[in-house]
This record gives sequence, structure tokens and C-alpha cells, in this order.
Amino acid sequence: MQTAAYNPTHPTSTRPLAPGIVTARAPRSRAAAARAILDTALLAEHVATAFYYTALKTPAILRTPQLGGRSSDPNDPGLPPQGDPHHVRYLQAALDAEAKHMALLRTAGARAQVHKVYFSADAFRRLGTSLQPHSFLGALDRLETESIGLYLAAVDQLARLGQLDLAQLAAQLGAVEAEHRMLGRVIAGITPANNLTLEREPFASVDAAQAALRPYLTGKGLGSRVLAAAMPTRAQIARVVGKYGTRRVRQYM
Amino acid sequence: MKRHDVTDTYRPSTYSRRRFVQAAAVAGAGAAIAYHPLLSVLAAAPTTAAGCGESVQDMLNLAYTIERAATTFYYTGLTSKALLRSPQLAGASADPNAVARNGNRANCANLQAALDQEQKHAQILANAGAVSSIGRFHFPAAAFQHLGYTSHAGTFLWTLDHLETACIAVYLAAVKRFAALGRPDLAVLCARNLAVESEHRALYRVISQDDPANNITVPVTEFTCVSDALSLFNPYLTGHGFPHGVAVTHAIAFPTPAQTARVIGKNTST
Repeated sequence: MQTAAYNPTHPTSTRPLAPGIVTARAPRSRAAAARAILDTALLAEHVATAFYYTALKTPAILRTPQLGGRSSDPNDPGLPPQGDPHHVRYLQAALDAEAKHMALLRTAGARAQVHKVYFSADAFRRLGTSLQPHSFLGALDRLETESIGLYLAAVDQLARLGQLDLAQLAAQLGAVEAEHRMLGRVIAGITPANNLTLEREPFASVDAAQAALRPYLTGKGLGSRVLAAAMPTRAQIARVVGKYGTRRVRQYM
Repeated sequence: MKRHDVTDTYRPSTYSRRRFVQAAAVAGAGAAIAYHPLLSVLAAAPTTAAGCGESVQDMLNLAYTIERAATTFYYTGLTSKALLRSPQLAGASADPNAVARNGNRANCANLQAALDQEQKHAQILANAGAVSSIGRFHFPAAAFQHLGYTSHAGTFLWTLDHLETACIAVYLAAVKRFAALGRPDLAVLCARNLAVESEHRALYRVISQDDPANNITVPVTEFTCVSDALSLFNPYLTGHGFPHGVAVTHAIAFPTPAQTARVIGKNTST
């Protein structure tokens, strides 16, 4: 993952992209370039959906005081101090949001399809914290940071392509991923949970984000212990999410 | 789950929210001079059938003004003893930097960081060229008397929900408009800002114990054009246009960096 240092008082200082980065590769139409960006985003949403689904089905993660307590059923979590139902619902809603993001991206024209996703097995051995890379919350922090970075790169490139609606959609999706990252820190008990002035930009382009996604899609580069997770069906997701899903709100005020 | 939780519908608060906005819109539509001078410029931006009419400078100025209003709101909240004494915040100490045992340190820390972020967002926008002559803001007086819930009209958390949701919507409209104006850099800046505002939204829902805190699939694109937000924000800038019967604070000055630093303590953001 490329890490770009940024100075929050200089909002453009971390944008190394030269104008026309999208056309720096082999020439392709604007529509094809936009479609490639959407496809990468859809791959990322597949990974995130499988990630949250696997966690919510893994007793080693759920049976912790920060989540389900003695219960490994996300729809029947233990009450404090043995469990924390609010925290479980953050994860249920995150799973629901990621699955719905896939649908939104498909509606927008994305076509990528994944049947199996790979993770380091360490991610599902213990809950850990956002600051421990070899734990569930550490993996969540990394995955969501990469998703946010992908969407910020997508905003930039889609804006350059003149795809205004898609740039806005990318901004919307990235904002929800930022909520997920922050709520992971809430579950970990880290304060402040909202520790960033501006979301980080780890990727100079969507292609760079796609390279960071590759281990999750191939199982290569994840260490010696790899867990292969099949993509859950809509029915499976619905059973795990229960009544704590998310909603499309078209008008709020 | 408490009865005030809103998981399936926004109906309870939407009614109040709609009345709130309608009152603001009527005030704006009824008399153009009711707009703050800064907003009058934006309101006059020509909107064509093909799109919105705001300039880059218009949008920077409005976003800057909104961030200053949000900074002032968080600062006033974090210095209002009536709010701070709540068990969801500082408890008996009423001091966010010395939370009592019957308070909630995490909630205080997250609000302190939100204040820090709003202030820094304003500075970032100023560095990008934003200007504003507006240095004082008005809010519903009840917002600093009752922490409340996101579904209890007029309370701190309800007003915060109103401000943050509108702020997110402004940034979403700005992403599109900046892209249309050939400024992808500013579109990305808006996306980075609005993601942090979305975190704030989830955090005050945590304080309100709304389940789930992250309850929306994507943020709401309330405004087609950035200037559509004018009628909504005008009352906060002028003190005029709040619904009839709503007591309004005196004009509250944008806090200085020294003032906010004392309140934020060590809960800054990077």
C-alpha cells in the first residue's frame, strides 16, 4: 500500500495525480474507464461483504465482551457487561451496507463477480483492537482504510472523466466506509474514535487500490495461514443482519 | 431498544424537521433581503436548466461558513454545563477534560475531536481561498439546555443531526459541482471532509443510543445544487427564519483557537 504523507492545511498537497492520469494507460473510452473504476469498487465491496459476514459467523470473534458475550448469535447478543448489542449492530449494519453497495455499483454498471475471498486466518482468531494488525479489528481498520482510499481515488478520476453522478456516488460510498472504520475503533474502545481531520489518501489511483485488493482475491501475500471464504448469498446475509440493516434515505429534511 | 430509536422510519423527527425547514424556506423566499449578505451572492448565482450556477469561490465560502457554524455549535455545546452534566457526557464534573465517574469519557472525547476537526476543516478551506464575513451564529436555545436524542426536536443531538446531515448534503452537491467546474482536487477535498462529517453523524447516534448508529446505506443527497442549502442555513447565520415559537440564542461568536484548544484538551485529530 502506498502511504502518502499529507498536510491537512494544504488540501491539494497529497494529490500527486497529474491531469489525465486515467488516459496514461492504454487509450480507452471514458465509459470504459469509468466502468473499470466501478468494477474495482465492486471487487472491494465483495471483499468487505465476505469479511463482515465471516466475522459475524465466527464464535471466536462474537464471543467477546465487546460483542456478543457468551452468545455467538448476532441476533441474540449478551447484555452488558457480558456483551454489547450496540457493537454487534454496527457490524450487522456494516454487512448490510456493503451488500447494498454491491447492488448500487451493479446498477451503475459494474460487472465484476467474485465467488471466493481470502483473508489471513489471524483476522478471525481474535477480536483484538484497531491498532493490532493481526486481529479482526486491525484487519477491519486496514480494509476500510483501503476502501476509503479507493473511493477517494475514484472521486478524483471520475471527476476528471466528467462522470459527475458517479463521482458523487463514490463520495457517498467512501463516507460510509469511513463510518465503519471509525466504529471499529469504538468497538476497540479507542478514543477519540474519530481520530482523523481528513480521510487518508493511501492510493494515487484506483489501479493502485486494485493492486492492494489482489491478496484478498487470490489468497497470495496473506501469510501462511489463509482462510477462504465463499461469498454469502442474499438470504444468508439477511439472516445474519436481522433487523439491524441500513436504509436508503432519499430525503431527510 | 428505547422507543426513541429510529430504525425503520424517520417519521417522528421528519415531521418536526420538515416544519423547521419549511419555516426557514418561507423566511428566505418571502424576502430576499432576509438572506445574509454572503448568502445573497450565492442565491443570485444563475441556475440554468443544464445545471447549477455556483462558482468555485461561492462554494468554498459557503462550506467555510458552515464549518465555522459547526465549530461554534460544538464549542458552545462543550462549554454548556447543562449538557455536560449529562451521564452520556461529563457527568457531575461538567468538564470534558475531567469526566466524572458517572460520565462517559468516550463520548466526550469523540465530541472534543469533532470540534477539533470542524475547526481544522474551516482552516483548510480558508487555506484553499475561502472567505467569510460571518463571525457570529444563532441556534435554537434549547439545544444548549438539553442533550436529548436525535429524535427529540430542538435538543442538542437533534440540532446536531440537522446541522451535520445538511453539511454532508452540501459537500455531496459540491463534489458534483466542483467536478463539473474542472476542480477534481476540490471534489476530493469535499469527499474527505464529508466522510469525517459522516463519522460525526454515526458518533452522535452512538451518544443517542440509536441502533444501528450507521443506519443509512449511503448519505442523503438532499441538495441538487449547493445553493439549495441556503434557506436551511440562513437562520443559523441571521437568527431569522427559525420556526415560530422557537427561542433563539443571542449571536454566538466563532471561538478563538485558544478557546477551542482549552476545550479539546488532548483529544485532537491528526
